Formats: sequence, C-alpha cells, structure tokens
Amino acid sequence: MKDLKSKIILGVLSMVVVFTLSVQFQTIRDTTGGELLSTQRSQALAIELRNLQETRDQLTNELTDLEKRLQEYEQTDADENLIIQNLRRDLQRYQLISGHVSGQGPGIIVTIESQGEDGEFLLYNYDILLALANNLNAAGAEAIDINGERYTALTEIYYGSNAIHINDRPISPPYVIKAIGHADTLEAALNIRYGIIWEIRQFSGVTAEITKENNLFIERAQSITEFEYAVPVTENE
Amino acid sequence: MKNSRDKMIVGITVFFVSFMLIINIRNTEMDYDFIRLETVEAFNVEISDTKEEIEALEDYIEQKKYQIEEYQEALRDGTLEEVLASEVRKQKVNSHLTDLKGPGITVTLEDSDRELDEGEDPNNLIIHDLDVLNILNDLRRAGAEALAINGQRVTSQTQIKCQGATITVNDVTYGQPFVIEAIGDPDTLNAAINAPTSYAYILREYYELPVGSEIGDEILIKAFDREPALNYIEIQEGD
Repeated sequence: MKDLKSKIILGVLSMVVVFTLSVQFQTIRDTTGGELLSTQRSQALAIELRNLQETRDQLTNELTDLEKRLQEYEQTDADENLIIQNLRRDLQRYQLISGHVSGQGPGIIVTIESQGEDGEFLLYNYDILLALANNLNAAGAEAIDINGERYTALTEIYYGSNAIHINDRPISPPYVIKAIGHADTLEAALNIRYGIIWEIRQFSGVTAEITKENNLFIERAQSITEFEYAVPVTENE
Repeated sequence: MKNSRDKMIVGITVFFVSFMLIINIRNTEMDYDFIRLETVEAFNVEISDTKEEIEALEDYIEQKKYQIEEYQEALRDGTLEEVLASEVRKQKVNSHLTDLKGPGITVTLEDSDRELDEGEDPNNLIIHDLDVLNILNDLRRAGAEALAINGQRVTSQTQIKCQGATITVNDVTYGQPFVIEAIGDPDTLNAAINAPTSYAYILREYYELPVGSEIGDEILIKAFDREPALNYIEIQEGD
C-alpha cells in the first residue's frame, strides 16, 4: 500500500513537471516565433536595433537640413512685393497653428508622476492628460506639448502595451506638459482652489509640479495627418 | 526505495536533471549574458517602432525635397505667389480653418431622464467635461479627420466646459442635446462609439445616458470661425 501511494505521488509530481516544461516551451516558441531562444539571438536583435536607430538619426538630420533650406525659401523677405510678404507671414502663422513648425515663447511646464504602490495610476487614468490640455486651452494656451508630442486638434491619447500612447507613440513617465501662453494666467488657471492640480494631488502617490518659464521650446508635430475622407469645401461652390 | 529498480529510476532522473542544468549554466557562461523573454519582446516592439519611424521620416524627406524643388522652379518662373498661396491653403486645412466635408458620424449626448436610484449621486445622470473629452478622444483614435461640437470646430486650442445643461465650446454656449460630428471612416468611427471598450458604451450601458450615433455619407464641418490668437508664440529661431 505504501508503495502504491509513493508511486501515485511520483506520478502526480512528474505530471506537474511535464506540464510546467511544456508551458515554458510553448511560451518561448510563441515569443520567438519558433526560433531558438539564445543569447546570440538577443544580441542580433540589439545590433539590428542599433543599426535602425543610426539610420533614423541620419534621416532626422537630413530632414532638419531640408527643413532649414525650405524655411529659407518660405521666410526670407528680401526686396519682395507686398503680396508675397503677406503670404509668407500667413504661412508662418498657419504653420504654427497646425503644429507644422517648432515654436518658442513664455509659458509653463507641468510635471505629473505617480509613484510607489500607485505607480501605475496615471497609466490607466490617462484622461487626466486630456483634462489638463483642456484646462490649459481654457487659459489661452497657444501650443501644448506632452513628452515631446505636439497636442494638435487630432491628437489622441490611449493606454496600450504598458504605456500611454500619444499620437501613436509610447511615452514614459514622468509626464511633462509644456504650454506656451501667458505664464501667470496658465499657472493660475491650473492652480485655482479645488482646480485640476488640486484634484490630481488628491490621488495617493501622484505628484504635480508647475514651473513658469520665460522662454520654452515646443517641437513641431512628428507627423501631420493626410486627410483620406475629408475634402475642403471651396468657397465658390 | 525498497529495491534496486526504484533506485535506478531515481538515479536516471537525477542524471537527466543535472545534465539539463549543466547545459543551461554552460550556455550562460559562454556569452556572459542573461536574457529574459520580456527582453526579446521589448526588442521586437522597439525594432518595429523604429522601422515605422524611419518610413515616416523617408516620406517627410521626400515631401520636403519636392517642396524645395517647387520653390526653386517658382523662383525661376516667377510663380512664387502661387506656390506660397497653395502652401497657405494647405496649412489652413491642417489648422482646421477650412470647411471640410466627407463621410462620418454624428453622435448625440443628453443628460439622462431616469430617476435617481436611492442614495445615488445626481452627477451620474449629467454629462461632464471629461465625458465629452473622452468621446472626442475615442473618435480621434478611430482616425477622425475633423471634429465639431454643436457646429463649433475642435482645434488644437479648443476648450470644452460642460456641466449638465449647457456646453461651452470655443467660448460659445449651447444647450442640449450636444451633437458631436466627425469626418472619417464611418465604420471605424461608429465602432469607437458602440464597441464595448468605448467610453460611449460605458456611458450608455452603465450610466444609462442616452448616447445616439448615426452614420452620414456627407457631413459638413465648418471651419473655426475666428482667427486663432498667437500673441506669445513665435517660430523657433534657427529651425
């Protein structure tokens, strides 16, 4: 009887072991796409990533050069007629509004972060960022940027694969919101008693700081949506 | 362990296990590296992200080169005015200062007219800023190209204030119902209002707020009707 008992225990134990092993194998196969998981493979990935990043940096530089040249064409107003000068001025205005160019001016920087046990609080409550942008706009912000992503009319914020995404790009904490406008007004609008900053600070583990800046820079939008469905309505239609 | 057969079985098992362990240890020793599945996963994600970025950059570069050529030609032929004017038109479209039309969706929101449950917060029956902001966000995520609330165009500078009876958009106040219009792929937009993961679905199903949506073949969304204020910002020097 004793023999049978130990055999059963042994049997159950081996079943557990086999099960664990097969789950492990399956997970690895799923993640690596059927290939062997080895340190060489991870090194190969690291090298591929580094190469891609280098290419990206080169392209970014090239783009910056091209943009500079383009702006020379768009902005120099050496001895030109009034119509062209006006057109150039309009172009700059609308480029700033659409987020097509980087801008600078006075404003505020808001830094919010959730720490400790509640470290993931902001991940799931990303609509705090929507509310912040809305409040800043109410105070007359002229351009807003969240962790390097320009806030445009079509900017979306969502949670996915363990990060907040803005304009389809993952961003990581702390969340830094920059806004250009009248610094005192912007600050006052957020800091108002029982206003949004107060509300944010009520959540445990969440910190929020505002600093005023005389001159801050806001980058241009990384990509401008090309419309597929919307068609401009011409006035003489 | 009564007989030698049992001992042999245990012996063989121990041998196998230690064999596997040794292989593992040797493997790490050779490369002085320890990797986890998450690392590989993270690499894969980052690689595909970077590839996408590179593609976008290449598109951008192509575009800029074309624009520069356009300017060079225009300067040669004396048609600079036309090139600039068309560029201004394009930027106005992207600044949401142009009327647009296209297929899309109309969403209507209203405060609920149901009775309060006992001890329930009256706020549950009322539409707030954040509700509207979240619905707009869902629509943007579904690829909306133009948005308007009660005819007021949503721009990058739009502020929304809404606490029940009225909504104030771009400093203009409207009564109920609140009507959100969006141009884009109607099916995707519709899903952003009706899918169980959407914010509108939660409003409708859990708070029982009346949220309606209707697909339209041709929706007209007006331009933002004032000149946006730009008193503080200027183009970044040397950019």
